[in-house]
Amino acid sequence: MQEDFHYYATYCAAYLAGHTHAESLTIAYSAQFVDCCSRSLLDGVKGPDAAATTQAQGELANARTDLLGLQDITRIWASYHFLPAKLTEKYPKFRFKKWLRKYRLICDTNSELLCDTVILAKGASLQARGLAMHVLADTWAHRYFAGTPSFVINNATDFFEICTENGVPVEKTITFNHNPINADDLDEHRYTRSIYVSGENSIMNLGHGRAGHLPDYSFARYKFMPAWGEYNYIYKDNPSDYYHAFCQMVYAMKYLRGVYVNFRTDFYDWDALAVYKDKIMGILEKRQLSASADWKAFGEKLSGQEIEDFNVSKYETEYLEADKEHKDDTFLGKFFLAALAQKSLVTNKIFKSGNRLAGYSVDFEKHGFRGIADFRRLARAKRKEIEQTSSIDLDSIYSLADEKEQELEKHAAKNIDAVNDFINSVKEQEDES
Amino acid sequence: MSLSQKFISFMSGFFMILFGVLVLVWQRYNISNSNDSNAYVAILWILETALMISGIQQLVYYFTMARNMVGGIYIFYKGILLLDAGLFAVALGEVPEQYGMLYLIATMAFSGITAIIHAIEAKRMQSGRWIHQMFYGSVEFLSAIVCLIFLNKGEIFEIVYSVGLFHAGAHRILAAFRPSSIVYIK
Repeated sequence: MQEDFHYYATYCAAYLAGHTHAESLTIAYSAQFVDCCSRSLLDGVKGPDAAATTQAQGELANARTDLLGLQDITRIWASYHFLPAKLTEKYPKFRFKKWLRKYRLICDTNSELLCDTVILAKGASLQARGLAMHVLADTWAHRYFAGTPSFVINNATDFFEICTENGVPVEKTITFNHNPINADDLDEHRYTRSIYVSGENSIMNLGHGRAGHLPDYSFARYKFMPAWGEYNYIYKDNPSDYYHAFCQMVYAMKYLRGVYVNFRTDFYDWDALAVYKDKIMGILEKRQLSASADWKAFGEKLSGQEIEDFNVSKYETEYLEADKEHKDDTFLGKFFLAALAQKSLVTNKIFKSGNRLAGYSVDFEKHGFRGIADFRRLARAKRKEIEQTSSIDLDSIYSLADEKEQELEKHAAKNIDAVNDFINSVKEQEDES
Repeated sequence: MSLSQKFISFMSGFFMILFGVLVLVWQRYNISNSNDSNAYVAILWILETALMISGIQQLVYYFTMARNMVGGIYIFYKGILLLDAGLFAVALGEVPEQYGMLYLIATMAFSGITAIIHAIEAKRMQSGRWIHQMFYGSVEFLSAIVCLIFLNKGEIFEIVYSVGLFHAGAHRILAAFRPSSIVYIK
């Protein structure tokens, strides 16, 4: 998915879920920022390295594919862009473990990990909500590809675009070139994709690189043969998938706002969006390289407010100028914490499934702090959160106790007055008698 | 990284550095004694063995993974070709030093260009890391040019190759000690 969906469509979904204009902007900005927060950007703002949510092209070109390098790449792409959906799946035929480990990282919708991701954002910052929405939306766009370099999983062949001519569906052969400078030619069905490299761990075989930008275009309907699919075609209906993503985002954000008590997978806010369906499908099906203008107009019509363009460096100064103690309270600070929490969660789930492709995960509660130093920041934030929660509880208990005490004192005072009145009345009666 | 992976990483780094030192020592010994270069023969032996091992690796990769994929048969052909090329290279009595040089030049030029691309991107994002990347990329690329100029000088090949071994070895040793676990905080 691109800026059109991650920024503008997420804004619309957030607004329709009941957020204010400002809250929706924060959520949308955070969702789009996931595609920008590379190590180079983090280095520029002196942010934690481990909070990287993407890798820029230059970083990828220069990435090492040794053991640690592969684990690092897998953590980034599986945590934020290709959420694994088959972690515990048993393949019906015999396959070597090496192959299965890669296969189990294939991304798909409505997984257990998606549920964990949304629940993780509950009660957290708006930035965490935006990040979770990016992950959710990408499960629809990036399904059938894995967030790890793998030739046997991510290579794909035989692409055909399914177009409608005079109301009849027609299959058009897709041709690819490998020069990233060339823009995709929608009329000629000519797209750009990564080059064919038969090395299992080549960076060219990461994610949907071998399918080019096809999964990122909301209008695209196509079929292709994935390397893992045993010579079967997969039909991909992006307009339908993107509409599912939109409706699921609205439902998920309503859950995060507390409208629903539990988050369930395979649940969509169809009813609330029924009135907008034609408009949304119109945007999704329009053949264009970017649908930003259409989504922006739709969002502005919904809220009646102007949606500013995405500016990647909007919050950099705030973060750079904040002192060390308050960095985590800034916009970017909150985003980095959300990113660390997400990476920590996904790596742990992959590790627990017996798969070491994303590296090792150490449970802080059981073994203490042993691992990448950047995560101390997350540990500190969690501790602060717990302290705040417990201090809030104590305060509320103390104030309740004070109220009760005052009530009792009042009652006691009233009782003493009554006793005194009684004594006085008895005395008066005695005097009279 | 598990303990065994750390151990392997450390030991492979150690042996790389050791071999780099040996190449330099042999090279100096050969120059002082005006002998044929033992260092070049050792490097060539390493490259030829690597070619054969990579052919075997490709065949193992085919039988364990690629056999199940669409178009996986090409991996089998690739494995056979590499193994064959490795065996052929071993069987050759003498390989001119220029071939070794060309291999090194191609590797260094590619590595240098990717580092420079990364540096340009890092600079655009105001990252301080660009200086290090640019320096590394430029050195790699310039070394490739130097090798190209002195294509017929075997000593240059041996020195550059051993420096490359030091760099890769040091990286492996550092990787063995680097904390790499992700902390899971509920």
